[in-house]
Amino acid sequence: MSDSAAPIKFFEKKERVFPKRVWGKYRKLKWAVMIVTLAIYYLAPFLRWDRGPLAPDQAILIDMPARRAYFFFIEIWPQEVYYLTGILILAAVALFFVTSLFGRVWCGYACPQTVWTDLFVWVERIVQGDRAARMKLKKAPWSLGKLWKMALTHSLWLLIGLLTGGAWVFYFNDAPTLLDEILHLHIPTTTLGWILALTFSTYLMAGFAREQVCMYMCPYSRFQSAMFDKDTMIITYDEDRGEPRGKHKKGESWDGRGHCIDCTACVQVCPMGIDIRDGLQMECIACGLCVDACNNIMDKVDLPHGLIRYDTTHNQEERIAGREEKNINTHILRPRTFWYMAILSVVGAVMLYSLVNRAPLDLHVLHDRNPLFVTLSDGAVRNGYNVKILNKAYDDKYYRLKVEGLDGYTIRIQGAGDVTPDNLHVFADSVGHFRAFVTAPKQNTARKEIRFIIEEVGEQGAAEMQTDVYESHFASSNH
Amino acid sequence: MLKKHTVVEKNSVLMLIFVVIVISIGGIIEIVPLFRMETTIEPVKGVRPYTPLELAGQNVYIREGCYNCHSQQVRPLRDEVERYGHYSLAAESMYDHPFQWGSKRTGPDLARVGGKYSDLWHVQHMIRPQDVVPESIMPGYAHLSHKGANLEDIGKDMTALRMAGVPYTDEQIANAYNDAMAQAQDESDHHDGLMERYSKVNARNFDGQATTTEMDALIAYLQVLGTMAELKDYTHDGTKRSGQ
Amino acid sequence: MSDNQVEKDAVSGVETTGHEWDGIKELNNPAPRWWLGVLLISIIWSIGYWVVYPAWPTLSGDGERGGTKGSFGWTQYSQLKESQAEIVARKAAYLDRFNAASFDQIKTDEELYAFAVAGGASAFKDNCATCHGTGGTGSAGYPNLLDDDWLWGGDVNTIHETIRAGVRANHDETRFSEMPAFGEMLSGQEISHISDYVLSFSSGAAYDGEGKDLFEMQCASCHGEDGKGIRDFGAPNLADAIWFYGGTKGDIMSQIRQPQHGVMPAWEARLSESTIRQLAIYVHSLGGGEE
Repeated sequence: MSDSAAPIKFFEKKERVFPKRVWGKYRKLKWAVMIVTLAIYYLAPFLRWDRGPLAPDQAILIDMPARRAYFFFIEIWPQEVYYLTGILILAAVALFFVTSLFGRVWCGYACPQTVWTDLFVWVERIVQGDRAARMKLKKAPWSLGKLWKMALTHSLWLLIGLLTGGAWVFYFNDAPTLLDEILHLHIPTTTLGWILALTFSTYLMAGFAREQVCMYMCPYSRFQSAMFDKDTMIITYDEDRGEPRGKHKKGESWDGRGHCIDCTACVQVCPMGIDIRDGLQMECIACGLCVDACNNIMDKVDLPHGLIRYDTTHNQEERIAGREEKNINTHILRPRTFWYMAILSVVGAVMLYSLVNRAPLDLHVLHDRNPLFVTLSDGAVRNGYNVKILNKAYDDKYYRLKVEGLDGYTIRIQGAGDVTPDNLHVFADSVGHFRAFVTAPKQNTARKEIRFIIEEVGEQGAAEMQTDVYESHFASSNH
Repeated sequence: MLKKHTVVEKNSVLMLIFVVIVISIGGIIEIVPLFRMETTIEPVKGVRPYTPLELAGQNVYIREGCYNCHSQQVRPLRDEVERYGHYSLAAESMYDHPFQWGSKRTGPDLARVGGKYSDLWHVQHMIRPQDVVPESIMPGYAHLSHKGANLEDIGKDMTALRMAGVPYTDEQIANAYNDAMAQAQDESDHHDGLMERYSKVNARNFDGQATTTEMDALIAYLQVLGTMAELKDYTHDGTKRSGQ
Repeated sequence: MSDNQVEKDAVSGVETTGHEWDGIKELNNPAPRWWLGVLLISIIWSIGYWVVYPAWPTLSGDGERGGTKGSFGWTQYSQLKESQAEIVARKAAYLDRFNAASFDQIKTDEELYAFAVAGGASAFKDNCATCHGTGGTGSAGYPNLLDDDWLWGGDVNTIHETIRAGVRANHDETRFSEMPAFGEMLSGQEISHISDYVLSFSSGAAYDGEGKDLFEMQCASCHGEDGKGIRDFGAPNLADAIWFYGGTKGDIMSQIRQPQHGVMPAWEARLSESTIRQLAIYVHSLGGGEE
């Protein structure tokens, strides 16, 4: 009943993080990764890959209307979407592998959320100044100057978002054509919708949500902890060396105190807003900016680098116990990494094999279900089948349809024109649908397993033969 | 605003006044259109009250709960019009008490089923639906073939309906029983009278049995559904009121 | 509870309503701001809705069924018309060509043939499947349209004629055949003999009995001496493996004694000529079609 107690907040108010600028090895690496990944993202759709006159010449293209996906020499049809599963498995295992070795470096360097957030923070800094200036500006009352800076920041963010969304759609359309259309403002509605959706999601995620995405939305950041073990490289604070921390005046002795001068440089630069000196935390994305910040300070106070650094828990323990530090390389190959490697190789090999041996021809046969069979006037039995021939080659083909395992059968193709089972015409890069009636003399069994076979009919007779088989059954009656 | 609300909450008279106002708005919106009912019925020729036999069939239809699975309303939507024919008009059910529009279709809509299938098909289908439609889940109604149609007091039904606004004449009510029996027979002395009193009547032995059963009545009812209105002359906007 | 004694919740500092259930007290929080906002926006939205769509009944009886018309002039009937026009436009690409082409021309035109089969298939499900089954296999008394046994003929023109005018239907040109009820003319013994003889056609067993003479005298004029039927009369083939009303001796005897006669409606009045032609091509394509 006391009024003095502060009311409980059901939701913690989010403290905005203002990362300070930092120089150093890892910051340089981060810039480099950002430039490379953004360059790939923006330029990849413009790469060309010649596939002949019948297919698009874009190296990476997901062609929704034509139901095709292209990736350099690979072409995927909708029914081969399991390759996507393979790619996802590969990506997941690769992530596990890298994480078990180097911790969350994917999160710290290459994840789009990190890259775009970094870019947005850079824009923020260019316009509004570094950490202190930004914090001051946030607290300052609204003025023309503040309005101008804020407006400029948000406009630039939106512009980056627009470019992000704008680049995304190139993966689904012929990029040069679409670019031309966009420049002339003839944008298809769907495309415009995607551009706008991605513009605003980029703006929200990189401009506002930022580290909240990693902390509350991203499942990967949570389960990556499960890949950690004692030999995983993580960002460590050398407590043994740093504590007890305290302010240090120039010329004072370092005896009886730790090397940490409590300057909080590591905290100020952290994009996640944590204090790494509290130990490994679930928020840490292993970007190494605190390492750079701390090393710069160590230079100023003439102490060796590495108070904060990439290290393994194992090493730390060894060092505290006074034993010699182990060479990290000896710990790269351990059961965990071995198994990840093994899975990676096996899945990769299977995918490569199936891609290289991908048949340019596929056959699907569906037996009619209503009715299963038709008894004809002489007691013969006729079954109906829907036959689909997938011609994945880039030229027209003719095929011959045969049945194996049924004596005395005849096949009739129902359709317009003079289609016979010997000249099934399928256009280049498309699917041929045929209605086939298979008639066989009076049957003594209710069900017979049969195989459909197609052969390619070459220009000179049956010169080159390619076959594909499909199993079905031949129903007659309930004898 | 919150503070003001406590005034209402604590003053029962004021609360009552506000409650009455709110309920009246809903009530007026629901009731007023009923006074203007005639404006909602499209002018279309050919719709007549059911004959006594058809009315007996409708009674069977209601008794057996057909409306639980079958609607009688083709909505003005493309796929329904493609499947069932012209969308239903209010005029077509103006003599139905109660109307059989329904709100759920487990089976198909029956608003225009009249004349679509033969009488024999209906008989077979009623006795065992799976004989003609193997995938049907409709139950059989074989008992309708064994039970005589309740035609003795169908005239009383008609009297009751007249009170509800169905324009049955005294003559029609007086001849109800004879008309009903005549309609279920291929030949009858009362056919002329029946034809005179009702337009476009299907008069025949619907179920092929000598007695007039509930099956006769129900099929007579089904075979007239959706066939009365002269839809060929009907246009939605052009002939407004010219039909009356 | 009076105004000056409003209880405040200790934790959140919000007034309670004074209602309590099992020690849980209700806080007098206002409705969430966003919720109120949505309510107000909905109300404002509804005003716009009244203006542009038919909404209010009027006393004058003018307007759409005695109500306001709305500035959009929308009615469900005009919406239906538009959606139908859309289909007509989509079909138009084929329909004119289809209507102008003969059956022979359609048979050689892949596009028109596919159009006819697709259109026929949907019309079949709606109109024909009730008797002939969704797969076209029929049932006792309703012929199977997939096999090679046809009562009236299985080429596409004949099928078209059967659909158009029906069988024993209410149509001037309807196909008509009626097998006499022999139960009134022949004894049970004689019917039994005939049935045995009829069964021997399809079984191939040698028959040497009275049935042969009786058949030739009573039945051959329509069904032919060899029992293969005559399509001009719609007389079914009795020598094949397919039976219309069942193939047991009992079924055959019953059909001789008191024959059943099915009715197929004439579709000319119900369906457009174009639809009937599509249906004919579809039925012909089901597997039993003859040249």
